Amino acid sequence: MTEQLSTRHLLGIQDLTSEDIDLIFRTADGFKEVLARPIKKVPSLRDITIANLFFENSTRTRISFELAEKRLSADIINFSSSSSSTKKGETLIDTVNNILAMKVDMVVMRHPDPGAAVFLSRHVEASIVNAGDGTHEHPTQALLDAYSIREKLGKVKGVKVLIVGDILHSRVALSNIHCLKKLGAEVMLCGPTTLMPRFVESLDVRVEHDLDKALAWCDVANMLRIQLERQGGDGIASLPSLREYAMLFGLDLDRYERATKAAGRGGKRIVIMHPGPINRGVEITSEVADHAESIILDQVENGVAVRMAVLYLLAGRLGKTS
Amino acid sequence: MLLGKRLKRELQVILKRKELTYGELDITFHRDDFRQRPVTATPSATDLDFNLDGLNVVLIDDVLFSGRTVRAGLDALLSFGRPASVQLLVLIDRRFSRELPIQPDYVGRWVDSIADQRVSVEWKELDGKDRVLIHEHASSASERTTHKAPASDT
Repeated sequence: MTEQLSTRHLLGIQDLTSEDIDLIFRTADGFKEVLARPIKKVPSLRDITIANLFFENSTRTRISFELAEKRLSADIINFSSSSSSTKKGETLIDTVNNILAMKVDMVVMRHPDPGAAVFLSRHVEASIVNAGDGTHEHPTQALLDAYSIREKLGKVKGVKVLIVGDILHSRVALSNIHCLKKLGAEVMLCGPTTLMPRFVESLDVRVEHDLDKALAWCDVANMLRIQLERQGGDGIASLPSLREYAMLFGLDLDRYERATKAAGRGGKRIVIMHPGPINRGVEITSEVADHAESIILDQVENGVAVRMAVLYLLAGRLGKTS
Repeated sequence: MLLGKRLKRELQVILKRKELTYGELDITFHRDDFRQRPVTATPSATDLDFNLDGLNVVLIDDVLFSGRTVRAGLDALLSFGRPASVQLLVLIDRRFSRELPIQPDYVGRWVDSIADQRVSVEWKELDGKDRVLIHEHASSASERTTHKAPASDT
């Protein structure tokens, strides 16, 4: 079978077609199998050099990408803003062009500014993978989330997915909404009004401010992290206190059990997801995070396979004009 | 895959063994032409849930042509351990067309064909009929040889 992505970069889920997503998932299935082998490495990208540019802190996404690249046999260079020349006043395009001058084929970039990946893709000759741009998109996270739902429930179409928490500051939420809607899932958002974006009506999703009602509706609950570092940046705190947030929007075992017993769902369990890192006791308690229905660690595991699929498929398009 | 399954069945009868260690290998990620192809190849399933350390392995493919698929197959195979030996069995050997020094140990039939022809194998299970086709210029099919898949000669 030979197919290809409709795009040369992965900038956001918005640019992908549902066929692209399906192709990424089927390719990821192959890499999941590779990752179960005694030797978890294939030579596909041995002629490719990838630069990981992280202008914002990240641990799991960077490690996940790095591992994906290494398992594909790509050569990699890592660059983070703490050790960078951006502090010396160099522009983004100059930084990247300097790196590309050393014959780099692909760039994986995380940047605090929304649109940074799109901007870069218009000005440099390399395949760009967005690893998170400000509050805009985090496409590989959305892909691995949807992939994990597909793995757990066998499908994504028609599944009721609830996303809880800080929707306003969350690129994970935005990418997830686009991805799930493209795959035919139903999406509901839940969180304090202060953390709902003003453009929420344009997303064509349900909004519910009562977590218990929202939980009773859903098949999957994706509990987002409260982004402590993005709160109150403009001098206005969006939350009175973390304790109040935990009381109203935190998921504990009691609430979980109550929701599964809600009328009309026949005791159906709720699949628990979290993009990490978890603030245990804030958005989710330990009993729920470590619950049998939690697929939080599967998400991390699938992240490597999904990123391998994305890099593999984009590398397949390098140097081709069509 | 179908060739392998049939050979397994035959061998179980001949050797009177209930089980033969059998697995399926997808070599997509080991190909050396992955970036030369017009479109990227997507993988099919690999189903190989045992370690190959110390085993005598017969690698099976339907048509041997340039040898590049077998090269990739060997590479993929070695990710699963260090076999005691590896032999190659093919249904059709397109002679005089090798690009790498790879020769089969067991051959169903030799076919002499020119490079821009394409040889394909159809299976009863998939296509309703067992036959080997030689396509002129890789497009229109002309039937040259029709025969049943050979029983194993091991």
